Amino acid sequence: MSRIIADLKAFATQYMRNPVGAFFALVFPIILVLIFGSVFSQSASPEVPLPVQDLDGSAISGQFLEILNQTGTVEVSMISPTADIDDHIRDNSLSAALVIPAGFGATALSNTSVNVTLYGDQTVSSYGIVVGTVGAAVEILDRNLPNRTVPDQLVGMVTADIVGEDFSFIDFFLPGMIAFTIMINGLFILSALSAEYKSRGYFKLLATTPLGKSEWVLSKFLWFLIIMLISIFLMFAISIGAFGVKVTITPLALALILAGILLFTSMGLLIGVWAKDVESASTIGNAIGFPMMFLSGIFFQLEMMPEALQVIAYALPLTYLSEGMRATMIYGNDTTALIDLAVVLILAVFFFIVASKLMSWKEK
Amino acid sequence: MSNKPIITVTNLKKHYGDIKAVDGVSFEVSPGEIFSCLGPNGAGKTTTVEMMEGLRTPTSGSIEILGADVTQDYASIRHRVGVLPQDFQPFDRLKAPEAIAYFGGLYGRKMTKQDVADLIDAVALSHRTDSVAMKLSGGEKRRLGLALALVGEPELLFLDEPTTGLDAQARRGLWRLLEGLRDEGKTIFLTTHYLDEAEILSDDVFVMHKGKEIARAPPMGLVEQHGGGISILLLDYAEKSTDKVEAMGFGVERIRNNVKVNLTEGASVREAIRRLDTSGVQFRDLITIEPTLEDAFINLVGGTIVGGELKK
Ligand SMILES: Nc1ncnc2c1ncn2[C@@H]1O[C@H](COP(=O)(O)OP(=O)(O)OP(=O)(O)O)[C@@H](O)[C@H]1O
Ligand SMILES: [Mg+2]
Repeated sequence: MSRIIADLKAFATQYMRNPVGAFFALVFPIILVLIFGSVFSQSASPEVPLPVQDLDGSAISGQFLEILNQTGTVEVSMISPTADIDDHIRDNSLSAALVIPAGFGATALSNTSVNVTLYGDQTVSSYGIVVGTVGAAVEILDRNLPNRTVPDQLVGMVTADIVGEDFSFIDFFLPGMIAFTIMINGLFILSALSAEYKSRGYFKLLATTPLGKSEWVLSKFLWFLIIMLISIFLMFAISIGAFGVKVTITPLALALILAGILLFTSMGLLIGVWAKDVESASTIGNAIGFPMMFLSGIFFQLEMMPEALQVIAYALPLTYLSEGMRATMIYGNDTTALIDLAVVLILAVFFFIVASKLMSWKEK
Repeated sequence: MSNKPIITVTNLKKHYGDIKAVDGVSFEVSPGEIFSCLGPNGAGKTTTVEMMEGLRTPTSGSIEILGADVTQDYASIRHRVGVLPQDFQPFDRLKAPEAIAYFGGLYGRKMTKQDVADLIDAVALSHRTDSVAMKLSGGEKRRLGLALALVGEPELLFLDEPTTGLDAQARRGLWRLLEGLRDEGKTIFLTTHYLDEAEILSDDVFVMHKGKEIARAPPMGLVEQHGGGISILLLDYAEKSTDKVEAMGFGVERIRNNVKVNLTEGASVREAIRRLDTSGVQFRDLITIEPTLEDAFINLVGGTIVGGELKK
């Protein structure tokens, strides 16, 4: 243990004297949080988004959607008819959604009353706009129904509450940003570091001392844990101060952070000991790290990407870390988070074992 | 002090494909001695020490150090051995006292500020304690490396070319330091391609060339056995040819305007001087030259070492 502490202390000193490490751990994530946070909080569209699930698909429901669109106060998007509406609202943290029931058009045409259901979060400022708009659209449709034989209003609206916190973009962004920070620091710094230790003979030098390989690895893991926790703390502090984020770290998120650090430090280590020099290590690190940055749903939602890229995304370890972090921190969806945690842990253990096996402090 | 060897190397080989870096060397090192492995570039010195440090696996042969079989169980003796690799590079962003405290921690040694300062003083780095290692000069880095090898207070030191890159003053300082360590009872195994270093410092010299042992003896023994006889230098030799001297049965070598006369081993110096003096050959004066380790080396290897390279 004293050896690990000695190594940790010496490594921390060197790390803090190297501006690159501290930049990627502490400065870079904050810059990204600030940039993305301000870009997306400013560009809030004047139209309130209103996802609609059309279970009817008739001419009447089409007409209704048309009316909604023409109001200019809501921006209609479509939810797949096969989606479970409650899950969909939770998974996408929607603050409003509209469901047109199956048989909506036929029922109305047969002079029987029928309702659309508006799900809404009353705590959101745009709630009133949505209720007013949908209410008005319902009346317009009702008035224009053909074959009407009864004077009563046939088409109506019922509301259902969405209870949930009002998460903004930055809330969505922060868990992904944490995953991203863990990835770049573990992967980039450790691959360069272990390649440097190899090429400069530090491993050989340490091999002649009583320090064991596993002790060295453990010390690096502990250091990245410390520096990542500081970084995460800073990201939260800044996001709360500047954008008033509401998400919080959950125990599952903490477990994911630990597993993620083990995963990406092990991957970095593996790259570093496998590459023949520092340059190739950083090239390989970039080749693996950059696709993950953009394809793992850090900066935009996976659902927004083309099908093919989504398939690729699920082949990338970072996807599971960021998805798991969001599942537990935003949607409170612990099942998804646990599955993601399991994936990250299995990969972490796998890479850790392979890297430790492959890492040799001796020449052959 | 017991005479049981602290290092026993038996028929050690390391082959890299066709390259026989080390090709069947055997030797023993006694406790408390300075043992030099002397040889030109590529002789196999580093390969040999690194096998002894458990860093390379021998192709065949055995190494026993401090009672442990190195190829199986180096871990059990690591804390008793200090190492300065030939290609030592310090941790760039640590200052000398920090690096020393770090290694102290690795060796489980509780070091006070004074302990650290003493060690830095011993390698003459006291004036450089505020600089991170990447700002040290080559020689200063080497001395820091030596300090790191000493941190664990090892019984046995492996120093691969400890003085390469050091200036004359630093070299002499380091020799004093190593002699002091020997006086404390530590055993030092060093490699060098400096003949004078091996001659001045060592109790035993192991001459290595092309992976093989050429000779092994205390420096004086090597000179006696292989140095050849004494030679006489005739200063400002005035004759055109050296035929007359050669006719007396001496080996002759012209060195600028002097002539070096090599006596056969055991030949009487007084007799030779008398014959030269009375031969009528013209020269200003003469001096006698005793053979050095370099002469022995030339006779053994067929060349001398200049800047690490073998010169025929
Ligand atoms: N890993 C290796 N692969 C192939 N050949 C090697 C390897 N290591 C050493 N050699 C070869 O083995 C021979 C001995 O090398 P070694 O480094 O032991 O010499 P040395 O006596 O330490 O030389 P120097 O004085 O230059 O340090 C050299 O010819 C070298 O090229
Ligand atoms: Mg060498």
